[in-house]
Amino acid sequence: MPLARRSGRRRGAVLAAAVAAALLGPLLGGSSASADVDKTGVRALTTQTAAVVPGQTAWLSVVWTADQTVTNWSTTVTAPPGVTVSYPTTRGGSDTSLYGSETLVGSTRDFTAVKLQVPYAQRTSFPLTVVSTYTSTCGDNGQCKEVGGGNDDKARDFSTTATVTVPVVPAAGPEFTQGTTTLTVPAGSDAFAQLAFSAGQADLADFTVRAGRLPAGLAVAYPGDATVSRPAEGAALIGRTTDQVALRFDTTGTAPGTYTVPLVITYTAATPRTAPGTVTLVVQ
Amino acid sequence: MSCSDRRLARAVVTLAALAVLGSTAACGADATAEAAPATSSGTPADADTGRIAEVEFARQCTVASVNYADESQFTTDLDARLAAAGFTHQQWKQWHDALVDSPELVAQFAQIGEAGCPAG
Repeated sequence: MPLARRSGRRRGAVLAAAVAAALLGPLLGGSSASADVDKTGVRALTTQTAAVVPGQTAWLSVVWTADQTVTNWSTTVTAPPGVTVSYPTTRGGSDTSLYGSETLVGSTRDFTAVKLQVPYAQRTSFPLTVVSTYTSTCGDNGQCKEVGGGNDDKARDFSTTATVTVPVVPAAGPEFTQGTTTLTVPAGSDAFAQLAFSAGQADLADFTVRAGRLPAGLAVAYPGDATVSRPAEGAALIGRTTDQVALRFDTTGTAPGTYTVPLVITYTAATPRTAPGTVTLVVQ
Repeated sequence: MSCSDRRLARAVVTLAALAVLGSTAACGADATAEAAPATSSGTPADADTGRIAEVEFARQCTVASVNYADESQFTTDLDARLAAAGFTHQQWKQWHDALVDSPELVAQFAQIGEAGCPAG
């Protein structure tokens, strides 16, 4: 019976292959199909981050958990065009990891943080695509050893993608506040003094300060012989931070007394703006 | 059953026996390794680790709802919470690093989180 014989041989071959697979499977780490299954239970617990306002720079976080311990954690984030994503410089700036370490211990939680720069034009909520990669040393039977690998001593790299929503709400409060309103300088001096400014919720690009119409006998200059002064930390006044601008007051021709020095403050929020200010100068 | 079928059957039986032995050995190895956590060789859980775990869990419940201007504010927030509970950042760090090989600490942390985060 050729047909039956062939059939018998085929049955035998299939059986032998199955047995061989059963034998070799544990030795070779199981079939690729089972080895590729992520049994770590890694998942994001965060579906929506804290709210941001248009024009804001913000560090936001996503909380993660897992059923099994994973290591070598790395997270990257993709945002819509116009929203800039940056990462902690401590890791080289191309990704972020968990707050506590690169390991997420099974049945615990930890979070990843990224910095977003939201443009003024972004007035509606937007999604972030968050991709985390990690390594599991638990075996393909789901069992984890304390030391070394799982039941098959293999390390497997996996990734999980989560989409979280970043709510965008209108900004509230002033765009900036002037922290220094009074300066006291000696008569006959010519030195720099610092004026503190704090941004509101959003960043103010190209922030400059200069003196307006000066009282008679008073002269003002700026760092680098420029025509304006800029924040010490950079051209922008970053939202929710305080920075200093330096003005040099030359009082060699000024009599002791109290003077009101007008200030002209310019910056770019959604659009370029100019705001007035004053500083009280006490010449002693 | 033909002679060749009998040879095949014997081969199958032999392979199956080896497979069973192999699996048994593997289970034995796994059993040894998997039994290790039961010995709780890691840091033991106590009242202090429980309070640190409470601080950490509370922080994890709120961290995604805050927006910081500076990255360092994550640590500022943690340290303020720890200080309020009478702990230092270093104590938190030791606790955190001990989680990876302490089933007791993990179980304690998981138990604290069983009720979930407070509403709102």
